Amino acid sequence: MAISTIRDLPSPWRARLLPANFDTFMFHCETGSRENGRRIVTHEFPKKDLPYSEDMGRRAIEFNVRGYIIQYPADTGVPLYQRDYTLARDALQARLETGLPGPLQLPLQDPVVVVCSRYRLTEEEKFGGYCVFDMSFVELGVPPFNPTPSTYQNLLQTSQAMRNQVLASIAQPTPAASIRMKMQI
Amino acid sequence: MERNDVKASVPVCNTILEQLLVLAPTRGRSGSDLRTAVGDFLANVETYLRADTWGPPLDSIFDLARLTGMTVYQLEEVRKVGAALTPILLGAILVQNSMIQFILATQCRMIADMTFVSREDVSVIQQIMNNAFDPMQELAADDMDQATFSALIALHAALVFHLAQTARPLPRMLSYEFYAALPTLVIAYKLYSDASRADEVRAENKIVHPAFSPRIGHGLSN
Repeated sequence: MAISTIRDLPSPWRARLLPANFDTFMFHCETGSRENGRRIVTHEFPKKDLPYSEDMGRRAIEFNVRGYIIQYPADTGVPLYQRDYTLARDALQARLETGLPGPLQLPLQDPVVVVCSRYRLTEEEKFGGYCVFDMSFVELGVPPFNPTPSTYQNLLQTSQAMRNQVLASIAQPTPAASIRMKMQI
Repeated sequence: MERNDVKASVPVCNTILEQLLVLAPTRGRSGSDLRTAVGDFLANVETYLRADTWGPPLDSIFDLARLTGMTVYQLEEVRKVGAALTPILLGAILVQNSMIQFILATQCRMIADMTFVSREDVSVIQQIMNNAFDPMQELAADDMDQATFSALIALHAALVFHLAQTARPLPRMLSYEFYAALPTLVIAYKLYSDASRADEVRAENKIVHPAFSPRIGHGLSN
């Protein structure tokens, strides 16, 4: 098989490439970096040679993304590929400014629900029809002290709901069942 | 309910409730209440069925059965007897399905109050209940009875979630095999470093005499 372009080379990662987006608002991804680690606190004691590095848990995942939006030669159904690049730019900017969490999908990484901590929109005179978004995201996680539902109470309630449902269906047979009963008679 | 359906439904009620009385503990005040409720229902079953007022007394009967201390396994036997019936008329099928749904709701209510010793106990109950729920969910789906279907799904989901949460902190059951027949005191000490758990070993393995327990048995992982 003749290989005419670099895309013809068998490369499994290329098949997994996904369009980058934040909460469905697409952008071209120039760089996307993911930062994570452990929260290590190092204790150093007076008169001691050995320190103690204590693990205080996982750090929040941070993403630094450089995305861009550029004018496309023709209007398509996809918002990112339009002659007027400002449509996609304004939509992404508005979404970032809401401050609400949403899934961040980078081309080769698993999606993570994040919030945008800051962003910078850059447009240069010499690059018409092109803008750059430098975005920082941080993992949303879960709120602290989130009460876990009591499975015992939940089971009691659903059990009672089931009994109520049976009583209701006996007192008032479903229309389909009534019709079939009459047809059978 | 029409007369033909009433006639076909009476044997269904009789079979299931008589099996309930056979298996439920009928001693004490709660047992007496159950016997009275079942007897009253069976005496007036045709009237209840004809007037479509058989729901509340049946609901009350299964709740009383729970209060007698009936176990999930006993109620499961009653359910199996009910599920094995093959009524033909739709009225009788409605009665059969409703009684099985009452049984499922009561079984879940019983499970909520159960205390489990090991994960294996939980998985046995889970398997029994999954087998019990599956045909009823199919039936409700086939009947296009959306309200009952969603109630069954919600109950099944709540049960699975409860059992999963209950099983998580419990120890596993492991098998042991010793070189000779040992007293339960020695086995408990060897397994748990705690001879006071000898009765637990005896109960778990149904050992006849605690001085001569079989070489092979089951114990908890902690």
